[in-house]
Amino acid sequence: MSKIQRVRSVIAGLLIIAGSLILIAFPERALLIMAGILSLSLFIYGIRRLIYYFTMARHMVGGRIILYIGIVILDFGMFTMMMTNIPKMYIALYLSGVFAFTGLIDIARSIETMTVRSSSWKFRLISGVINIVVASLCIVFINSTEMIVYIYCAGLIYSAIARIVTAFRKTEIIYIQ
Amino acid sequence: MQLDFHYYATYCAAYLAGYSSEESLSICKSAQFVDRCTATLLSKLKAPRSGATTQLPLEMIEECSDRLGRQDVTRIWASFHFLPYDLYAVKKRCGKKYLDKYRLICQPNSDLVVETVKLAKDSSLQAAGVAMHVLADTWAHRNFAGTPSLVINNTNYYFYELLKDGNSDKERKIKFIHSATAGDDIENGVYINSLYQASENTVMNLGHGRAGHLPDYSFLRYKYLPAWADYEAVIKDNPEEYYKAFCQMVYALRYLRGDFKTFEKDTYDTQTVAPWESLIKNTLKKRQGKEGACKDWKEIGEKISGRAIEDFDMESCQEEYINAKESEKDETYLGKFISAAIAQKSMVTNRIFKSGNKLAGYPKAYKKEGIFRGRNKKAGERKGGVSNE
Repeated sequence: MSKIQRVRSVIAGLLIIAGSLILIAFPERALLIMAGILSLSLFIYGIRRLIYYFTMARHMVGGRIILYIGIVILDFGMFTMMMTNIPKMYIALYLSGVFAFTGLIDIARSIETMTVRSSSWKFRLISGVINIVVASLCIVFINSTEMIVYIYCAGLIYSAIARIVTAFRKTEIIYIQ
Repeated sequence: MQLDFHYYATYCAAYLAGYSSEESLSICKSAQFVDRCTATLLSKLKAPRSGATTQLPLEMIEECSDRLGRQDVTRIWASFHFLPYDLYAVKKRCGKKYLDKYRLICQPNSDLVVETVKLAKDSSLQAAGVAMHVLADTWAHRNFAGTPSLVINNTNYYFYELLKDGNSDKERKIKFIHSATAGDDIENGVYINSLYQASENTVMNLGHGRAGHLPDYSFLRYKYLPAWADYEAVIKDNPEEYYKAFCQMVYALRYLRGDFKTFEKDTYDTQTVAPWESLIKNTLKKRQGKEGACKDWKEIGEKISGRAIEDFDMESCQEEYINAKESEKDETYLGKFISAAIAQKSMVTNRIFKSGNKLAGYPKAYKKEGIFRGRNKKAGERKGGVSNE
C-alpha cells in the first residue's frame, strides 16, 4: 500500500466512523440513508467493472469473470435503489444479507490466501466472522429498527477501524524481478 | 535471468567475443548492476535518479498508485527488463487502451534490441554491459510486458512443467504459493508468485510476477496460457532459449568490438561458442537453483579465460563515484554506467512515445538534456544527461 493509499484509507475510515455516529443519532432515517449510499457505491463499482471488461478484460484469458462481477454488482446496486419504498424490515433483511455475503467472501478469501501460504489470512478471517455475527444479530433483532441500526453501525465502525489498522500495517509483497 | 546469467555467463560471452578478462569483468559487472541500480541507491550516492535501472518493492508500490508513477515504472521496466517487441502491433477488435499495453509485450529479436546494441557501439564497456542485460532479458522475459497490467501479464491455473520422459514429454502441474519467507521448491514443482489482484494497474501485475521466477530458471521447460494469447498455450523452452541468448550476446559483443559491420536480428554466433556448446548446454539443463548455476557458470568462465573470476561487488565503484570531484564523476565506472542507462532509457521512451503510446510518459527536451519530466527532475540538477538523437 502506497503512502497516498494509506492516507486515503485513514480518511475513509474516519468518514465511515463519523457517518455511523450520525446514523446512530438519527436511527429513524438511518436505514434508508444506508441503503442509498450502498446502492450508489455498488452501482458505480459495477459500471466501472463493465467498462473495464469491454475496453480491456474481454481480450484476457479468463476475463469473463470481470463481466460477471460487473453484472452482479450492478444488479445489486439497482436492486438496492428500488428498496426505498418498501417496509424497513425488508431493508434491514437485505442489509444483513449484504453483511453476511461480505463475511462469507472474506472467509473464502482468507482460506484461499491460507492455501497459497500467505501470512495475511488471519485478519481477513476475523473480519469475515465479525461480519457474519453482525448479520446474525440483525436478523435476531429484526423487529427493532433502532437495534438493527445500532448493530449495523457497530459493524461499520469495526470495518472503519479495520481499514485504519490496515493502513498502518506493513505491506507484504513478493518481489519478482 | 539472475546473477548466473547476467554476471557469469555475460563474462563468458564477452571473453569469447574477444574482450580481455578485465574488460569482460567490466561488462558483466555493468550487466548485473542493471538489477541493482535503484533510485534509492542513486540518491544515496547523490547521482542522477534518472539513471535508475530497477526498483525496490517499496519504490514500486509508491509509484503504481498514480499515473505519473506508473509511467516511471514503465520507463524502467520496459527499457531494461522487458524490451517491447512491436510498438505498432495490431490485434483485431481491440481499442487503443488495450493496444497500448499489448504493444509493450517483450519478445527477442525486435527492432528495439537492434537499436539497443547499436546504441552501445563506440561507447563504454558499461554501455555494452547494459545492452547485454537488455538483450538477455528479451529471451527470459518474453511474453510479459514491463508495465503493470492484469490483461497482459496475468496467468491462470494452466501451468505445466514439461519433463523429459524418454523421447516424449511428461507434464507435471506447477503449483504456485504466495509466501515472502518460503523459497521455490524445484524438486516438487512448487514456486512463489505474486497474488492475483483484479486491479489492472497494481504492481503485482508487473512483468512476470504472476509466473514467479519460472522464466529465470535456465533448466525449466513449461507451458502456460498468457493472458493476451487468446487461449493458445505457449511452450517456454528455457534451455534452448538461454543458449540462443548466449550465442546472440557473443555475436552482439563481437559487433561492438568491430568484428562485424552491422548487427542483424536473429543471428547467433554458434561457431565461436561451438567448442563449449555441450558444457554450456549441460549447465543450462541442470536442475538447480541460482547458487548452483552461478557456481557452474563461474567454472565455465574460469575454464574459458584461465583466470579467476571475482564475485560481483560494486562497493569499490560506489566509493570511486562518491570520492570523485563533481567534474570527474561522469568518467568513473558508475558515471559511465549511469550515462549508458540514461541513454538506453531515453531511446526506448522516445520510441514508445513516438508510436503514440503515452504509457512511458512524455520525453522532455531530451536532445538537450536527455532527462524526463516528472519524478526524475533531480537528474537535471547535474550535467551529464545523454542525448541520443
